[in-house]
Amino acid sequence: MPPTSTSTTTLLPPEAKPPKSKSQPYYSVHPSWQDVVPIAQVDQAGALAAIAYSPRYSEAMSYLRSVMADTEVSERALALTEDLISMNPAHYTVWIYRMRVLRGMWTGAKAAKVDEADEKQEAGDEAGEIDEALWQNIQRELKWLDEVSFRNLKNYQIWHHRHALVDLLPSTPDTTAFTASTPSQSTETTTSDRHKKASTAAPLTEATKTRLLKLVASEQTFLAQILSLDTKNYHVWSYRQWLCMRFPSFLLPSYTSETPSSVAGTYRSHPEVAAIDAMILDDLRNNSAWSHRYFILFGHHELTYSNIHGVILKNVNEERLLHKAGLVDMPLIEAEIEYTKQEIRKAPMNGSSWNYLRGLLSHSALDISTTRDFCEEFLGPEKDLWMDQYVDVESEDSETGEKQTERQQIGVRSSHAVEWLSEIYAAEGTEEGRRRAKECLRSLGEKWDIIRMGYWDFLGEKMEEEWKQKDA
Amino acid sequence: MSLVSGPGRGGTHNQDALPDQLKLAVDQHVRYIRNLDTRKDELQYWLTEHLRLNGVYWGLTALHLLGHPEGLPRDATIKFVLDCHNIDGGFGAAPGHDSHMLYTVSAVQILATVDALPELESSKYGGKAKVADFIANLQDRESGTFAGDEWGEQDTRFLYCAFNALSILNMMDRIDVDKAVAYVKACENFDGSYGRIPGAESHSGQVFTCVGALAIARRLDLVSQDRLAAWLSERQLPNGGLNGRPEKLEDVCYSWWVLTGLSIIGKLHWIDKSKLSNFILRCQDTEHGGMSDRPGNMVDVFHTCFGVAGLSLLGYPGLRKVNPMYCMPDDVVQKLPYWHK
Repeated sequence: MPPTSTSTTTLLPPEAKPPKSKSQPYYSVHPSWQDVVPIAQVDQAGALAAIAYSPRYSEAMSYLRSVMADTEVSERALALTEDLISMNPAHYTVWIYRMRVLRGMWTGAKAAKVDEADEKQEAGDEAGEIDEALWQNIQRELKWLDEVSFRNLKNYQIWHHRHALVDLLPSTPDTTAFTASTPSQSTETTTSDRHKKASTAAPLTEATKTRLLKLVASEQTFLAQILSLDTKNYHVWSYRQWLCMRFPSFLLPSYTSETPSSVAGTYRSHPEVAAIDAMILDDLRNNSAWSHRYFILFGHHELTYSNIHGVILKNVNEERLLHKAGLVDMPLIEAEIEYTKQEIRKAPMNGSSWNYLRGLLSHSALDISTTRDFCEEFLGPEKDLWMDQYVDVESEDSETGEKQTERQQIGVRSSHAVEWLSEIYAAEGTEEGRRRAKECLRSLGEKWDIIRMGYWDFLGEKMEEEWKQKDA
Repeated sequence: MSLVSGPGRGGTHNQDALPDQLKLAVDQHVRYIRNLDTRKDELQYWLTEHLRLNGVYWGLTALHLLGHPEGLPRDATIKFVLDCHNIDGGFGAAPGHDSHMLYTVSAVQILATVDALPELESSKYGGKAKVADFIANLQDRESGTFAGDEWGEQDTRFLYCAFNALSILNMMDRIDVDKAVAYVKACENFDGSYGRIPGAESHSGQVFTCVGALAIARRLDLVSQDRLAAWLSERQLPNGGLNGRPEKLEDVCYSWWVLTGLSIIGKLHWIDKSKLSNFILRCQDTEHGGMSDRPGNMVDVFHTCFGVAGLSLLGYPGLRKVNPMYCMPDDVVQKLPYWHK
């Protein structure tokens, strides 16, 4: 049990910061904390063991329990959360409490009840402005959070905290398109339903727009830095996707569901697209980057449509609803198909790029047969389905007459291409097409992707069934 | 239950074993799990206090599947679970911790596994009705999905936890199941797989939660079974292990998340089962016990649980049959009133 101070205890000077040492007491001997009675761990035996190993941590936790019991909102409570986060950043409750303290301090809500803080927030929203003090506060907390994020790359709570922080900013009029209260669309929830009121909010002032643009740009810079250290972190990409939905007019190349004109000409220079280009250039096997690319160019249109028309996302895609409504940006699709083919040629076995191509076809209702020539690029000479990728080619040196062998890459270079061709050939409806389709599956099950033999067998049987029915 | 890693490392003491020589080191794993609760002198024990109840669930489940349910003392386990019960009806990660969906489902699963669900009624904070209250209050009645607690974000993981716990308690009528099912449906992507929110990147962990939830709700008709199974089968890498997303590394816990999806929709034969089995066995430390995410890394109770569960799903001899929807012994699940209709 951390000792309560007596008149004989020497207190630390008021400016003393928490020590790095695991064993030195701090809160119990700090002048600003003398009025607080720490609450020990419930499990007595455990408490003793904890103190024996890390008195600093268990001391800090016992003071946290005390301020949380009183829902204290103060600078010292904030500092305590920062101290605990530095010792144990994965402790979820500490983050939640930190946000409550911040909200309380920033809005003057004494009891730190988030609902009260939200009411004060809404007043600001309706004026289309950001309160100066709030803006500065958010900036300061973000700066602190950036540093913590770099030190704790695998931590999830950090991203939820960031989300809650940035969500304090006013909605932009188009935010409603993505956070409207329809069943299929409710995503991250703040504890308020501010966004539902966004459509009645005043339009943003120029000053506010400038600030939001600045914030969005600095978020993109920060995200680029964090992602360079942990390129596929699902929490980071989730946050990024949320940010795009929260500020679509600033982050998405074309954010309305109407596409009056194609973005194909200029879209590659759009900052968010350029950011993804850079990530794919760095690692073309980054599935998260490809997934985000799909989202910013096409997925968010599908979501908007899904929202507005009350159709679930899967059906929007399966039933080609955007295509039927004339809402597909075909020049953009074509540009992206070319881009993807280029990336596939660099790494023909990369599943992420092939999945993306599949998504493009799906979104635009283009038939898979349009990729036939492309897929056949990855077969052996004369569209051979069995030749090994590398072949030792013998030749004779014309001068010395010496025999040499050279490794050349001329055989099948992509099992994905073979899989696609089985579908393409089967759809041709000819005897030759069917024969080729079956041969594709056989080559996959026997040579190129043996581990998935069960799946190729299944596809073969399914094909036979379909043909039997067609021929009947 | 300590969530520290080590001391063992996956792949040690069996590197030279021939593929068909690899065996499950049952006794060592049992000893490893039993010892975890005695490691209170390590700082990591306290830094992972916020996961403690989950840790008990992982360790207990592994012991039951390994055929050693006596490995953790039943009475002490029940007492620990009840000590985590809070006034709002939910359970925290450890005594004195705030309630959260994740620990509430662990509490319910643990009690069900040791056949102690009636003990809930002896809690001073109310019995299963109170627990159901806590869970039901976390449903967003508009979107259908669930939050983890009153402060945190919404995620289909919590939706799955709600279905899991409430079906065990046979109190699914306390929530709007249809709305929740509709939300899960909205999380399906064009590749047949699932992300954490509509439009998010497909991820094996989300497949487990979404398909598991649909299976519990008896709505597997909503799954694009062939397309999903194809995506899941693509998770198998040449070394036999499974990954969570395209182009990522294998991890033993995906032997569970991916495998349950394939098992539930009847497509286990779309992967190479013996290669996966060998991969899991290579993740063991056969002397110190425990399993790691992949050979060479430190072991921990989380990966031990899911490695053993994966082997059970693959039919490894001598293991108790696991239920793919719950990651609990199947015989326990079959006896539940919800399934015993």
